[in-house]
Amino acid sequence: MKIPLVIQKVSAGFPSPATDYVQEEIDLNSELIKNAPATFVIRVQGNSMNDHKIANGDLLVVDRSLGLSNDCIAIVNFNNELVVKNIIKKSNHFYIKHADEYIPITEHSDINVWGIVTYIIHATH
Amino acid sequence: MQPINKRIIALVDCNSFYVSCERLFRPDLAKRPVVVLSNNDGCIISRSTEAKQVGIKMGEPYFKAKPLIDKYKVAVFSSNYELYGDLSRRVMKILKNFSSDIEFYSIDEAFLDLTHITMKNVEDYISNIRKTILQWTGIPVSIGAANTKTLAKVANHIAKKKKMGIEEFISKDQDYIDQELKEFPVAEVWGIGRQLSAFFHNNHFHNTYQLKNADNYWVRKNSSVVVLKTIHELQGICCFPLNYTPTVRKNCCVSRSFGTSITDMYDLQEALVNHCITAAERIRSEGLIAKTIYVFIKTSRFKKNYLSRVEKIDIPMPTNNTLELVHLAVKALENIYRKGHYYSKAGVLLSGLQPKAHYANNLFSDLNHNLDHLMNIIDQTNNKFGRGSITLAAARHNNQFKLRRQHSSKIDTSFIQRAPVVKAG
Repeated sequence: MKIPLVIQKVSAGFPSPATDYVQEEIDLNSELIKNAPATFVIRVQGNSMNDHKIANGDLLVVDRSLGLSNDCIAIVNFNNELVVKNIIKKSNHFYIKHADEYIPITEHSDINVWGIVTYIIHATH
Repeated sequence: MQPINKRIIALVDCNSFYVSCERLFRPDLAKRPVVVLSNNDGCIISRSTEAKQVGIKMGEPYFKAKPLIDKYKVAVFSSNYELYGDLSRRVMKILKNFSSDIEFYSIDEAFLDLTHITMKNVEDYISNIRKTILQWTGIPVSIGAANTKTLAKVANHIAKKKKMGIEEFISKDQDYIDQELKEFPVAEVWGIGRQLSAFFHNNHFHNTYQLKNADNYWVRKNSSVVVLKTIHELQGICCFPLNYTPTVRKNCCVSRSFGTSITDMYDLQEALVNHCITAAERIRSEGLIAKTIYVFIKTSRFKKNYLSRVEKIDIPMPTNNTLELVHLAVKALENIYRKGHYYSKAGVLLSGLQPKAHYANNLFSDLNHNLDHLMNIIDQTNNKFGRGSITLAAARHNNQFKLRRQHSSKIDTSFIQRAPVVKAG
């Protein structure tokens, strides 16, 4: 059920000026998910991405319809396993950083991009 | 040149759909043989190309395929309908972007009316549909396009064998289509099937081109109107229009064989109660109510003293309420149960289904209002927290009849608690 954010009681006197601004409740789905059939929610395991503000147990919103961009976070198929990686663009090529080494993503490499991380959902409480 | 009023119909079919779903989060399985098992891990119901190549048959019992599975290290999955259902919804949602005229034919197949596309653009258009679905959902599909559903099915079969995964008869001339039909087995034609194809084979129809040119009067006399329509469709005359409204089903059956046979009535009761809960949930989700409930119990057909018993109860006030249906099923069981038999299967069939909205309220319907409300709450809770979170005590007598799902990936892309897990790199 959707509950409007502003509810006004019927009362005598002046009507609240806020009634003109009644809105739907906040809808996180429409905010976080731009392309629903292409968007997956994935849980992260491990702390290797802490430098990129991703912690163990966080939820990632992943959109498979987006292309790579410099310094994006992506889910990649690396050595036949899906992992979360930071991707860097250098002189028109994309690279993943793996153990202090930059490995290029080319048509011939075994690295496939699975989807682009658009939001990190991190519980703080 | 074809007349302008011909329709353009595309059939989109997901390749080895259940296997493709299981592979989505398992890139290590991309080139390995993979199979998916039916409910209760009984039979093989989906195979990757590699699994087909090593000789695993469709519908084969799991235990029979086990030697091949072990030999070729085939990856095995129990069916995970939550995952397949969600990915199917995604694929269908994407298809709606390409055409609003769409028939959802099954969990992994849909017909699209693409008559709005210019003929010469059809190939690019269906190729774009294929690419979009693959990129957005990871599911590979094959697409066949033609003037009729039956020809679209033929084109789809051909598409499956092509690397590009698409085939269209729209821009092709008749000679090209006829050549394809000459190589197409009659048994593979939509709606023909094994029995009819044997009949046609005996009458010297060995390929689909011959079938297409069969004499109308002969077919009408020796076969059915449906076959005649199929032949017209092969000729490019549309006889089966797209069906936009899903047909309302008349029955809902939930039954299962037991892993080991049982004798105790309370064990049977527990199984039946669980089936009843599932069946009631299913018809509620479709807004239906049942007029009749059948309850059946069987011993193994292959053992001595074969026993099969059925009880039919007409429900005075058609319902979809779990409590009422379970109550009737338990009563039915008490009538048909016989001591001293080894039962191998039990089931519930809800029949005479009709939309709840069509059923006129009667004097007593107010009494049911609270029960309806309770069912709503139970369904909502189970949707949120997983099936069986709220259930009846009678369904948990000793809990040995839960679905066997030993090889389940347990991933559900529509449920956060079951989200796929990926390692931080």
